[in-house]
Amino acid sequence: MGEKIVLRYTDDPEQSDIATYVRKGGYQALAKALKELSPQAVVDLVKRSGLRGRGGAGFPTGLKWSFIPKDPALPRYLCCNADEGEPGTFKDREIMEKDPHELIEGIILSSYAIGAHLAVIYIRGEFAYAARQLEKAIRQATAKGYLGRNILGSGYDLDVAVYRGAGAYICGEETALLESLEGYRGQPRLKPPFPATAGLYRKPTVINNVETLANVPYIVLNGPEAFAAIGTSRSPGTKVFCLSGHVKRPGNYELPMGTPLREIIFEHGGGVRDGKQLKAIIPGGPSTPTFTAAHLDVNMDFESVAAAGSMLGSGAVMVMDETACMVWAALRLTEFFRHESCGKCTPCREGTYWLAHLLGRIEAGQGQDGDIELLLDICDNMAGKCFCPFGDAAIAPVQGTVKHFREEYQHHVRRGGCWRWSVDRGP
Amino acid sequence: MAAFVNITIDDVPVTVPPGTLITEAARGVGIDIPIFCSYRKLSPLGACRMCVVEVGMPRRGKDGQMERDARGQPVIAMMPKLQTACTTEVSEGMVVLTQTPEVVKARRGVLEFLLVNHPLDCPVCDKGGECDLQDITYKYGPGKSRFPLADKRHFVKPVDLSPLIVLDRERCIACQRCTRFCSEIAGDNVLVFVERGAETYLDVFPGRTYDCKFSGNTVDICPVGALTSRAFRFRARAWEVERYNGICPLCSCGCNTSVQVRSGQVVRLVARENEAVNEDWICDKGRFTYDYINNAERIRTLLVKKGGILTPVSWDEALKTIATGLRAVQATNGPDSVGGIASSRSTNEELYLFQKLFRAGLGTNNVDHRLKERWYEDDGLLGLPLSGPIQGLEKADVILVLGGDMVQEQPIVFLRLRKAVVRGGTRLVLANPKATELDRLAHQWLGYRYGSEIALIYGLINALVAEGLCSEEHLRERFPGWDSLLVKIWEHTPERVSRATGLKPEVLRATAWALAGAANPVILFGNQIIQQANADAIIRTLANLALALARPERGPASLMALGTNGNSQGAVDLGVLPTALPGRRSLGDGEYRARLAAHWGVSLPDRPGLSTQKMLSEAGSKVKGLYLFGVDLLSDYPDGAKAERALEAVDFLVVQDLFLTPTAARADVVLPGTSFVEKEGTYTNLEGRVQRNARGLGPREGIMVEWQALSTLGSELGGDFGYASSRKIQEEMALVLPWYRGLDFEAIGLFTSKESGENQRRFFPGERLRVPVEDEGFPFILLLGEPFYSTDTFSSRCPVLGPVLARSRIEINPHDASALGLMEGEAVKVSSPAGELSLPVRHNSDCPPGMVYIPWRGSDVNANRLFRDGMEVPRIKISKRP
Amino acid sequence: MRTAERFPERRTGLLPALRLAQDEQGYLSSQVLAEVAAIFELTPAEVEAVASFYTMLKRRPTGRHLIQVCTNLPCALSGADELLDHLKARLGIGVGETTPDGLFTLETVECLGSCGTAPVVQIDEDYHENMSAEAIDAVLARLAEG
Ligand SMILES: Cc1cc2nc3c(=O)[nH]c(=O)nc-3n(C[C@H](O)[C@H](O)[C@H](O)COP(=O)(O)O)c2cc1C
Ligand code: SF4
Ligand code: FES
Repeated sequence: MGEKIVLRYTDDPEQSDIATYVRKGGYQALAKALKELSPQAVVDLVKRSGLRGRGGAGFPTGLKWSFIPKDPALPRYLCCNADEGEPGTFKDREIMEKDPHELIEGIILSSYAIGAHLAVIYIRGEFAYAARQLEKAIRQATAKGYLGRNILGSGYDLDVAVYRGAGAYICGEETALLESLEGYRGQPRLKPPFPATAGLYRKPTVINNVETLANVPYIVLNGPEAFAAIGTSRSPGTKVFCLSGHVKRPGNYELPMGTPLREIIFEHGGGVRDGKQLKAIIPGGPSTPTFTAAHLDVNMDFESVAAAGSMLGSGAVMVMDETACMVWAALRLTEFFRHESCGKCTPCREGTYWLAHLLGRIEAGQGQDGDIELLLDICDNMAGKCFCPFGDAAIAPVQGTVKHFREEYQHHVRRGGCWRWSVDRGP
Repeated sequence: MAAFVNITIDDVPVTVPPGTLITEAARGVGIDIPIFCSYRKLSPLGACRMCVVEVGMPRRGKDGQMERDARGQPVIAMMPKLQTACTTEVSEGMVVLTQTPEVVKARRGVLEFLLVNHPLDCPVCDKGGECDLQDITYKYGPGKSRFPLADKRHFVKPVDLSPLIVLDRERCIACQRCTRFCSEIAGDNVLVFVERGAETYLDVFPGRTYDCKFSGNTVDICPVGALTSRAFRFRARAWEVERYNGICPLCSCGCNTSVQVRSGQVVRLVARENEAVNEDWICDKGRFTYDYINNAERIRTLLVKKGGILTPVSWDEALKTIATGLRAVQATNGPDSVGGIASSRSTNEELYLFQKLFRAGLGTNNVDHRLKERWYEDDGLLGLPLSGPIQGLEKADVILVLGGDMVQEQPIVFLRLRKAVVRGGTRLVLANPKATELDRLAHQWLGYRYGSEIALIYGLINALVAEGLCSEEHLRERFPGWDSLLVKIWEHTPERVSRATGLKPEVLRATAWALAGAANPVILFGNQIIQQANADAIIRTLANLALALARPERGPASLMALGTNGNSQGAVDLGVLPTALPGRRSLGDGEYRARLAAHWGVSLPDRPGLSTQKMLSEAGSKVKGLYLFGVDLLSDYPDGAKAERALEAVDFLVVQDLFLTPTAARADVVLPGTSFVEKEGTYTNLEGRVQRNARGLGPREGIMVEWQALSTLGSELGGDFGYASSRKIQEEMALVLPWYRGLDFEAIGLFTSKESGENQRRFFPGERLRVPVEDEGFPFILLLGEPFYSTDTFSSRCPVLGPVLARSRIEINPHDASALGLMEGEAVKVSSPAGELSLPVRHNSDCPPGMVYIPWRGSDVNANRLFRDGMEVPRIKISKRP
Repeated sequence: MRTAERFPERRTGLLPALRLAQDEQGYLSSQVLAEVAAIFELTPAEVEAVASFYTMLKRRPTGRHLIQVCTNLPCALSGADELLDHLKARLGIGVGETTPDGLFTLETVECLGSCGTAPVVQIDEDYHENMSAEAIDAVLARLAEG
């Protein structure tokens, strides 16, 4: 196998230039679609390919598009979610910086499919270079007639705008993204109505992740069958795994869905660095429950990861070796969630604050009897009770680490500090 | 869509309209679902997560049919997560469970989260006893907190958001009720949440205050003690106060309030819900104007001038002195040598008795309630209802507001108008000489030259006709007078009236189209009309416009007056007018007068009485005795110099008031007045709705409330005034007055029948086109207005209002100011043919060039020195001070 | 303003306008917020509510260069804490502080989306990846000169 889709050409330093992109077959999918396919036919292709959202939830992309009301008189929009803020995730950035045309082409195709004439790339504020790369690509594509009015003589018009966020992880949540884009505080909206019926400016809107959209040209050009041939039957295609932490070769690896965790870490990532023992893995970003070395044989596709008790999430594989303290790691991630909670709903606003507080106390060796139970109870009082999925994400680090490494917590509480401070082996 | 949806809540079947939220459905059957962020007047938020419940839906097969179990019961699929009842709409077959262990645990969890950072200062918190957090914690909460006290989040506190509102950020639970009130109801967006996550806090912009005319409502709806009222802080505990149903007497809206009293003092006024009138809101002026009631300087004794000095006497002596005094004046100068002027903030019962006292007791029609108002100069308008339901504004598709600053003068009616425009999509056409805060909402804005209203309105009718927008056939057939009106209308082409009004012809035409296109048009007019010298003529013209908009399928447009005071409508209805009898009947209606006379068992004078304006002009000549009932003439009469002269000139002056005002100080007899809290009575609001006000306080030892004083005085004068209670007066009113006939005074807030409203079925004759004259000597048109926080007898005695009371000033367009070289804040000499004043300048582009604005009563200067009766449109000149 | 023209509702231009204002003024003073509010016909409070929600919008002035060290887990696993300690010592300031010469402000940030090349430091708009004490010293020296 070894077939790559979205990162296929990212090693070529010239790839971001439209000439190179076109030379390698770029914008052919667009030409084909505009000439041969109705918008509905594009939707059907994507449906048949089985493509699922790469933003975390894995929702079938073609199905999502088909929720857009058919009435052509209603304006509708496409939003590309390039807010990539999930710690450990850096795949969208690579696509945007190195192969921006691929994303742009995917956006044009997807907009065509849903009948949108304005597409917005909501990119996190810190990604200045990626934003410039996209702007450049949009200029080039417009100059060549792939964007703007009457694209390739088809009569179809599309404007693509790059919109830079300003530092708020929650704006990756699709309705918070819309709020932010409309000039408000980025707090999630009540659903229903769902964005497909009332999204940007309360008009029908599709929101898709960068990686999701970057797959679309391949599907249109090579057919849904070619795409579905990669990966597993229910999770077809490739996935970019963002490997970070204690591995020899961190980085993005685009591999077929269903690639075993062991292969990702040991073959592609070169294994744990400095000859240390592997201790814990966060398989899909901090929002997903923690794995241990016992999970190395889990296949990395939506179903298998879920069956093993976690989530594929954004594909951020974070590896920790024996030197890492799990209380410390959970604290880091919980502080992240405390910092990023939007503050709208009670359990998340107060729960993340309290969790971070308690964890800080435990980590510093000032924990008390009952603190671990209290942590878990706070998690339980947040679980499924927050306004948006952020709340469930925020408890994953605590729940996951307590589940597998409760003795480390106990050590902190009973011995008044971290095992790393006295010994250099686990407790 | 089905008209009703059937669901069960905790096994109780509930049938509600589609779109109902679970919380509302539950409330309907008495099932308590605790809430914090949800508030029925605000959009659903779902943020506090207190209201979570379990929700199940009948499972449906592929064919859309409900699946049923062996017993034929629908199979219910419970949703995996708890749902917020405050955001979930009911749907057919829904099953809601509010008491499951899951729900109980979740509620407890949310409460514990809210208490994590909440200070435990309930013993000193104003909200104690009526705090949702306290109550809900008691009912559903955890017994103790597992969070270490020392680690709570801290904020500087308390923070003064404004002179009226104090914020304690540590108590805030971020429910967003207040901020949603600001953005959704008041529309001011000055109160916001800043920062995010656990650091989120409520704030106003640095360096600004919570400047909003409705800010007190946020205190009412705050579920905890985060927002408190400066006036109420630490004054009483919620459970110590007694609550009375009051009616706010300040403006013609008649908001329903809850008056709260402790140890003989009014400690607080809050809004009382009345969907038809004020919904859940009252304005800050109404809310915070009450401390005058507790003021130690209230007149507590009866005073009679002896040897030039007001000396305390008994009731008996005082009333006898009045009776003898008035009779003596009449004995030498004839029956019409005495007159009475009553405040239009008085109750209906007082107003009724007051005019009866003059008509039946003293045999004169010299009674009036008008000070600045100039309408009802003749009996022409009596047949017009000039009122309509406030709720009706929500049904209107086009509203024209002419000559009124509702935001300042009828603030709660403004909220309803805003709701109609913002939520209901009503189109708003505004015609005002000066820009107002309402303009932001307006779809069309006509900034006309003050004084050119008639030209403007006839220009509109002309445009209606010229553009073929009138149902002329229908008008001609149904309403006499159309053709003769047309003759006068011809010359008022939009082009020709534009010289008078300053409006472009196309603006008038566009307005005509907007009005004609309306299915349900409403026309409102305000004080800038009511207080003009030719108010009657303008209102007749407006009535013509309303009628010209009639179409076969519906009647004329509704026409509503935005009256000045809390009981302006009642004062007219009850005949506190020299040419109108109680019941809105002309004095000239002999048959009616005879009936009334028979009722009262007297003969009634048929000579038209004198208006306030004429009584004062004739003071000293024809009029020698005056009875001022709650009126501070020197301050409140627009022509200050004339009021001064009149008081000098009369021989006998009676004043009844709460305070020894400058006017009262001149009196021969002073009777103590009482506030609305101290007496029972009714008020009629601008809708014609009669509302009952309950007594919350007193009476003080030895004090007669006004209706008692008036009846005793009436009996003293030999009339039939033996009312045992104010209820007896109401019974008589209901019996005697056609418009109040059959009114059940037991029921609060009934709508009067307004049978005579049918009279308006003909056009009033038209008028010639007039162009206002310029006056070189006094180049500026002067607009006098009532600011929201005007200084009067009451407001000036409420300490909390001190910082917010309107400052005296002259507002002038910046271009005019720079042409005259006037700096912001500089004191200038403002002179009119009537007099002069020194006022600081404020640049304000709301004033069009050539027009200046001065509030009638600012904090220190009374602009009634600049006005002279008889001025049609006052004009002034401005000179720099040497 | 280009952004505002492209979108059906003007308010979408608010965040770009705030960023622009910050680029020009260095931070968002109350004065600037009030000016932006006037342009968008919003109240200053509404604008502050938005501005304070986003961490990249600064309500206080920062040094000429803003050094932001990612201390989220992936970077922390690769030595971000040590790097931060080094920077504190070298600049002689704590997190959230500015050097007395006004040249550098030191901050920590959450994940910058560059975890494959951890640890990462963002200085102004640029990412500096795979940072070590020596490498960051070289970067600072360059900035101090230019
Ligand atoms: C707290 C939170 C943060 C999220 N952040 C991102 C993000 O940075 N990028 C992203 O593509 N999706 C993110 N998502 C998921 C989006 O809400 C949405 O599901 C996704 O953009 C849909 O695109 P897809 O169907 O192509 O995956 C986030 C969701 C939540 C709840
Ligand atoms: S769970 Fe609540 S506070 Fe947290 S991000 Fe979502 S809405 Fe905001
Ligand atoms: S009352 Fe339902 S979430 Fe607040």
